[in-house]
Amino acid sequence: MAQSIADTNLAASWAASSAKVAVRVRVDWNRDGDYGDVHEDITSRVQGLSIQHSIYDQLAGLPVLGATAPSRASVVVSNEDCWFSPTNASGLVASYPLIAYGIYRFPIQIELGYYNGSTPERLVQFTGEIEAADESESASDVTVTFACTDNSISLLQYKASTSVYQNLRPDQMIQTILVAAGAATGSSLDQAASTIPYCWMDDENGWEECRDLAQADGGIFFFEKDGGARFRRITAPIERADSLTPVATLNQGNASALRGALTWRDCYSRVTAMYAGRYVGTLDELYKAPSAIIVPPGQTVTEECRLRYPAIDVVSPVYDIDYTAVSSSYDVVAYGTAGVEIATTKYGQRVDLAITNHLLYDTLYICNLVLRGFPLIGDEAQEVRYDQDGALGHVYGTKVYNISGNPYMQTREQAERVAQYMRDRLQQPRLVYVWSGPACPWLQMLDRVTLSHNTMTPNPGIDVDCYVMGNTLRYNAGSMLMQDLTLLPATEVYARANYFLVGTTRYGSYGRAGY
Amino acid sequence: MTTKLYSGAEVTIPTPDEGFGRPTLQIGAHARMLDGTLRQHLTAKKRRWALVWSHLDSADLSTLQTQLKLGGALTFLPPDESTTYTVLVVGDIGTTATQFGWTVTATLEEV
Repeated sequence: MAQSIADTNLAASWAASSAKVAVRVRVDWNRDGDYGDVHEDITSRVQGLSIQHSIYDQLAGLPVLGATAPSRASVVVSNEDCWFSPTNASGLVASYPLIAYGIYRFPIQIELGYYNGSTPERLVQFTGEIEAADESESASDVTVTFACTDNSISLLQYKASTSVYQNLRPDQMIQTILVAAGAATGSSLDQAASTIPYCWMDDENGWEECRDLAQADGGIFFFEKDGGARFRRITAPIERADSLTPVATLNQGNASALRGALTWRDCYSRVTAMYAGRYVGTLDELYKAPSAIIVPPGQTVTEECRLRYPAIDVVSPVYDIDYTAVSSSYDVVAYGTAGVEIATTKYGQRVDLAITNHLLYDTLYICNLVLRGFPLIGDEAQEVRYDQDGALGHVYGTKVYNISGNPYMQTREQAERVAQYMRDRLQQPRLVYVWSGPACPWLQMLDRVTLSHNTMTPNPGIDVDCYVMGNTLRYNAGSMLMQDLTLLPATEVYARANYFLVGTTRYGSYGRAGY
Repeated sequence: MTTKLYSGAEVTIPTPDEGFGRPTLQIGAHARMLDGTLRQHLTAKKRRWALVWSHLDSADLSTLQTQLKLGGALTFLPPDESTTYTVLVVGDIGTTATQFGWTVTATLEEV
């Protein structure tokens, strides 16, 4: 969704022949959640900046929209007085002692826009954290370059294990991960179209999992300018208001450069999607301790037990059935507060046993420990296959795109939906445009814009609506605020212009059932 | 026609030669669009003074150079205005000995 420009003059300022650029860069040095404290507005020290948002990776191409790197920003600040240097006791560190340990993971927000008279009208263009601060000094220039990553940094550094969740939609599981990683603030998640029978995390990276979950639904996961996570489902571009109606017209009067390239490389005659279902097996031994577990007297030892299979449930170990306990004086030890106690924490493919030895003097030996449970058995991967449509497909010969390796792709319905959608997207070459010009600050991912380019007669020119797939902003003091937009023409990305939506439209009269 | 340049206590410096350059800098850039339209982005408008002091004696030279070499932001009262500006001395400070005394050149730019 484009950012709101209601009650602003931004549209007129963007179109005006002369505009005054409004910039604000702020860093939350004390991490208190606001940017209002002393020295948190660093705009007067900024020499230049660049911001990259993208859901289109030029190397990976159209098949993997959304599987790109997080948004990045680079901010170059003047440091001629060593203000930002951690070693300068009279610099920023005097106000914020944490700086002494280096500038790392401080929240940063960049706003750009134009002045309306004497009033700055700015929109947030980047919200994230400073990941690195490189100091540079030459005879004529002393600067620090802040390398910033969007709020996905919380997910990138978050690894977690969960229990097995049943029948969750991808957006529900994404929300679970975001909450656990502390990255749920400002998120906006579409209701996904599919349900995943079983999902869990096993010491896995939160960012990777969210992207896999989104792609198992044919959707896209990313972080938007405001720092909030976004999940956009497969049909978002033909449902959302700002994807249906152009929010800006990019024409020869506001473009400084325009490039277009046919993406034959991303064109496939056939799409196959692999899915692997899972079923609950019978009660089975899922873990066997390789040796006795030793617990000193009066202490608790945590034993991490990695299971052979993920398990829908694991039986808490039962004394004398799943293990025996012997003391160092060869006595049998009773279960309870006079002997041994075991607390069980269950995850999808791991169980943590907190074994407490209540004996005062004797070491405890847990022998023959096994864990029993109901495993989730993976089926052989199955495949669905869709060939190019006779009327729309343009690929000569056979070229196959294979969607595989996504553990959240577990049902035939998921595979069919994603494969059909990908077939429609990939069966003909797309002209991907890169438009450059003075920055239109309210554009966001998947917004629809009209690209019009008619400079020469009888040149047929270009008049096409496109989705915004990438957005790069560049600004240096004394230069223009420029933008590069990566644009995917909207025509025939979907086989139909609309689909039946449960609770929104009437099936049959409006459109066919979706993918 | 008093000219001042100081940091802290006010200091009167010699009056520069008449006819000095005083452009208004437009901080920004412009570019032609694909149809030839000229577009411009401005950040601010700042002033610059390209000043020349001729026929200075040694005492005036010393006063002037002391102030020009202070470093950092200075307060500048131009000879033809009553408004003061915060400026930096940018570029080189030229000093030339002539048969009529010293000639000094310097450029001041509004911060």
